[in-house]
Amino acid sequence: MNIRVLKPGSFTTIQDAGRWGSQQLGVSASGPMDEVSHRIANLLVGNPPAAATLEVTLLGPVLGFDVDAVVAVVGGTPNVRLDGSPVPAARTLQVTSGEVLTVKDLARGARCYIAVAGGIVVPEVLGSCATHARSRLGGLLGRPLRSGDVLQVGRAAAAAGRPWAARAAHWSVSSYELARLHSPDPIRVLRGRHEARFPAGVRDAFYQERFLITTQSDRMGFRLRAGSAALASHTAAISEGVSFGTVQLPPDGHPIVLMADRQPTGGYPCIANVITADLPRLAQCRPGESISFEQVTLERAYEALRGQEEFLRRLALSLQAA
Amino acid sequence: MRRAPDVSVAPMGDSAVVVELGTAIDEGVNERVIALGEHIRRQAWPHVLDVVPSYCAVVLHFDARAVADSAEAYVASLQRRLLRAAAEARAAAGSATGSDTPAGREFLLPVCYEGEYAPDMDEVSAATGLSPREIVVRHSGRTYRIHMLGFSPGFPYLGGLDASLQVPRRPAPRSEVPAGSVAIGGAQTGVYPTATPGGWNLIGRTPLKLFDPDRQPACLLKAGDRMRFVPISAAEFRQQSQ
Repeated sequence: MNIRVLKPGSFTTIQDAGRWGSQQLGVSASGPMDEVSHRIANLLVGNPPAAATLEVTLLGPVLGFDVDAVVAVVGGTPNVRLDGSPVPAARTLQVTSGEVLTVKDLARGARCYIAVAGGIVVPEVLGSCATHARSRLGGLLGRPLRSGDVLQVGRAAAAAGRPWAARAAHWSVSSYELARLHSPDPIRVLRGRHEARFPAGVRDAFYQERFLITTQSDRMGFRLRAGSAALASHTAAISEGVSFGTVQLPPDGHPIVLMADRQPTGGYPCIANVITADLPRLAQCRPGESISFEQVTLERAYEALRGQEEFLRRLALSLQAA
Repeated sequence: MRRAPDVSVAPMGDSAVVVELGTAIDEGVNERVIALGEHIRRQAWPHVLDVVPSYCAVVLHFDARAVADSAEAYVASLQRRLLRAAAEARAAAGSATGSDTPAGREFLLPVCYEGEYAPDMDEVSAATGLSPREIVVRHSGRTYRIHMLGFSPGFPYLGGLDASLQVPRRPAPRSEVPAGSVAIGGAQTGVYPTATPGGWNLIGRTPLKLFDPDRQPACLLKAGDRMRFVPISAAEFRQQSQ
């Protein structure tokens, strides 16, 4: 039961919910950059939320299906075609054996997820099939997809059967609802562990500046460029554990936001932490775009997260009831 | 933030909590950190994803989305449990006698410091004013303590490099350092278990596969272990290559 990679796209990797439990060995957690889109894609094809999908970056793959499959593409605004004809994103798609699915560019956003009912099947490494390209762990041979690769699809595609597939044919999530998931600029953060070590002027500037997302930004981290030298300082810290969304501020004054493929520990001081609810929105920002930060309380951070989880719960229920 | 003598516990972002046992690199603090990390891992608290010890702190990562509905209560409960765990770990360490206290293993790492396995040896020799032979004697002549793993799979943060061996990082990093490379950078020394970019000076290589995700244990080195570098010849290196 195969999918052939005819064109790989600019950087397409297999991601499940992440490789947890081994960060103390220096192993990155990896997993999806935009967890919410990854989960919605899985929901639309009847997969468990942690099932392995293909994470597409900016320009997607061309996939030849050798099997009937149920597929969904969610994240940003991707241009999706089936045998050349446009098909909607964020919707359950029936793909027939022999058809070619193309995920071209993303009109908006930076990443989307291709979910296939049954999940993408590759060997697990340390309990996960998430890809960490830098250490060559997980995914397909520890690397992004290449032309000629063949992907295995899990059993659910065949077992789902006609009645389920017919019901699922009407599943979709409107772009309005997807947009409501995310608040507009700025990116909300919590006070960082070392915030008090920075001079007051640096802290103030951090919340006033707009930062450019440079082209040196990737799954490991977003390297931001400050417009002024106002954030430069001699603040230091000792290496310790970091999170997805930790904002480091090195001496040069240009912040780095650690993302899915971050190393488990970091030695630069941490000025802020992006709230979990805003990580998907941040992951959809492209190099060349600018962002700013707003400090919020832990209560607001959890309120925002509850709102997203409630949305996902209602979506799951409404899809099942459809 | 909650405090007890020597311990502070606080949220770190909305998906982690950090327990701090000290503020500087200190062997005693680090031993307590490692013991606390292991103690916490054994408790297997719900929704905990990772427990990451470092020089002076333990970071506990949890699944914020899974606990979102009662996150505030979960975090408060986690902080209470961590304070209790720190007290338990301190009591356990305090009740161990000198002979009981596990000193950690001493790991002997075979290293070839010659030829193609030591591409920067001549530069380090010029920079330090020491002959390659003297560098090998001083580098392999002492025991190093592994304070933590991080940076890349299995990468050990070692303490105790001889001051006379300190050399600055290379002006430009190599895009790929061979797996097993033994290196010196600034005041630190270490081993790159896997091929990664690196800016340190390469003075040797080990034939051992320090990190293998398909092996149990995946990492040969552990935080809290002591290690020594044991010089071997190029012929022995080829024999031992895995």
